[in-house]
Amino acid sequence: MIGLLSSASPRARSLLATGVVVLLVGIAGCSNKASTGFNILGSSSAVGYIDVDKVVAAHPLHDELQALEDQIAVLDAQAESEPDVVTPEQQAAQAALERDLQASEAQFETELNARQAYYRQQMQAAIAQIQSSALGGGSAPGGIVGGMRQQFGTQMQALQTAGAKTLDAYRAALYNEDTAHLRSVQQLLAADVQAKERAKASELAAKETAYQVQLAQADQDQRLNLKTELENLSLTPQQRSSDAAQLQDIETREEYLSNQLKTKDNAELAAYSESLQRDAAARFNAEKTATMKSSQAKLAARQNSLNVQFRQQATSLGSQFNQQLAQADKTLSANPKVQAQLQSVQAQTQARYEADAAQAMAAYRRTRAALVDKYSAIAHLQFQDQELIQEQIDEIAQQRHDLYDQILDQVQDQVKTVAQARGIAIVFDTVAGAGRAVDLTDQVAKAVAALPQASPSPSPSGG
Amino acid sequence: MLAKKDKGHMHHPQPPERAAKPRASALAVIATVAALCMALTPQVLAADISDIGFVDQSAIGNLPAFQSAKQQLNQYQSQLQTQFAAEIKGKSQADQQRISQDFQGRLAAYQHQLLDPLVGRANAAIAQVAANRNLSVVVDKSIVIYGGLDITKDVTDLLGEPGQIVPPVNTPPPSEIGYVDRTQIDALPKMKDASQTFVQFQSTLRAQLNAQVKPGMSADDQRKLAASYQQQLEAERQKVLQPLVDQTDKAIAGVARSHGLLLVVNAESRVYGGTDVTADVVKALQ
Repeated sequence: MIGLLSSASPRARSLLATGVVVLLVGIAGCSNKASTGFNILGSSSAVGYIDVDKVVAAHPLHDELQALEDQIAVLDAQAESEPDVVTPEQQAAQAALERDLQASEAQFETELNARQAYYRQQMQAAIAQIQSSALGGGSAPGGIVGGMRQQFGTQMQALQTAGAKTLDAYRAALYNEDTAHLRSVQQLLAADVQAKERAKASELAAKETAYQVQLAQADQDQRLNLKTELENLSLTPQQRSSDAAQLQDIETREEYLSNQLKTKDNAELAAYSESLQRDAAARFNAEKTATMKSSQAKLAARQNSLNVQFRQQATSLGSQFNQQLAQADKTLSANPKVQAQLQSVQAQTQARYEADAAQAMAAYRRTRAALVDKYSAIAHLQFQDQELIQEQIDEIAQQRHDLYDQILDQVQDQVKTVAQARGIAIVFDTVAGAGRAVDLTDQVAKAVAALPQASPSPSPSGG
Repeated sequence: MLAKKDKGHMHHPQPPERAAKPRASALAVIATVAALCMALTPQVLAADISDIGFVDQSAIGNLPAFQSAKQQLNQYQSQLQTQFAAEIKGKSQADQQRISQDFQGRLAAYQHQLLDPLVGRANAAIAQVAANRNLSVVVDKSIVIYGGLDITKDVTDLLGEPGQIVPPVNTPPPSEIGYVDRTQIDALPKMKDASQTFVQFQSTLRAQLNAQVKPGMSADDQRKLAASYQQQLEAERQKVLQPLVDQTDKAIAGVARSHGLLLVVNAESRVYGGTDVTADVVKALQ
């Protein structure tokens, strides 16, 4: 700046200097307008903070806030001061009181739930009536929208049922096909086994016969000689006996050898048969597995195809339903009369419910107080209704919370005003420590203290 | 930034060609000043601290994913409570304590398992939004009473998008907003001693009040008792705690000044960025 001024002509320098002065004065003017003592060139001024507790303490409603806190402290103290229950009569009275209080609470909850259900039903019916009138008819429970919803549900259900039925029928048909096929395979395998068994048995029988013939031929000469000798009448009894015994031995040996072969063949036939059965069973099982696998694949494919079909149909139905619903919503929301009626019904029902519930609550509290009095008189002690005290504490705490919020809204309004006046862009609440930020606590506290007590800000205004 | 803006406006009359028409230049300067005067409202000033943002953490906590996790956690807690009640039956005090610790550990582990991924994702989203908006610090909405940049919607929108949220690679830029971890300050021996003394006094005073409040006592008498209780409590607070509070405030303010900070907030209100001054404050208090 200095360099530029020195390079300009004296008149220009003068004008430039005037301009700079004007500029600085202008800025200073701006800053003075904004707030006193505000350093426009320092960025620290852009951030402020307040000690909310101090500001709230300066509020005209702070005493009221404090009074509510005091009430809570007293009720807390009441809740903590339990009577000393000493005698059995007092203990019995206390137990009876607790039992009766619990019973009254359960009854109250039941009644309140019934009231809620009643008013909810009333409101739904009234809303349905309004919607039906606005959309033109519809006598389904839940009104025309409910009717649409019900219709959609029924159509979806029908789709699902039809899909399930188709799949069941396909599954049954596949099962029947598989059963018939496997039965046929089983019969073929059994026939094959039987044929092979028969062939083997014939083969072995032929072998046995040949063996028997072979044995008979081998003993033929000896047997003939012995038979010839036995036909000789002059044969001594000893000689006859010996020949007969020899002939018998030949018969016995042949029979033994023939039986031995038969036994071996029988064992071979049994083993062969068993191997055939085993092989047939393996083949049957392989076929069964393959058949089942094929059927499962077919079933899965069919299920997928049905699912795709179902999804397409459901999407189409859902789209139709959503369109209908959107159309109905559009019609209803575009109708100010309907909206007003709906709001009115909701507000009226809510108000009626709240009035009814308040009456029920008052009666419930009277019942509890009466129970406390009754058992206190019996026990010659002053029992406390802890639940009632807690309810009172909660109520006062809620009042305190609401009042605090109301105060805080007004504080925020004042913070906003002060911040804007002083050119502060952001204000923090109760910081841990201040640096270059501006402490607005006193200024805001002053502004808050000057607020009229009875005219709280109607709506919160944030930053 | 203010200084930069002012400097920019002051350069208007400088070009030599404008010096040839001095009157016109002077008028232009005056016009500029007038315009500047009009424009130099808090909106301009707000731009100077545009690196401070805030987020409504409670709104993030109310997102369906967090609500669902909280619901699961509550269910698990109920299950644990039932199991705990069954397990401590007939057990010694020491065993009960051991079982209690075990159950608390299980609950904490489940809590971590459920919430850590969600909190991590939320932090990544906040960091990404903060980086995109060139913020040096993001604090919780609850401590901002006026002004500031609300990034809650940006964060919830980002969290609503599917897929992983990648936090920015760069660390936040240096910030003029500091933060201090109060738990570390409260853990200092002199703080702990003062706190215990006050709690003891409060407990004794409370017992006295409980003994004085009788059913059937008039509302006026009750109010008097409550007022007396509050007064005594406040007097004790002033005596025992206030000197340490003042000392702490002074220490934090000193550290804030030495670091050239605008202000220092409590660590639990800081969400992203900021300058940690805890160690310096603890050192100053020792």
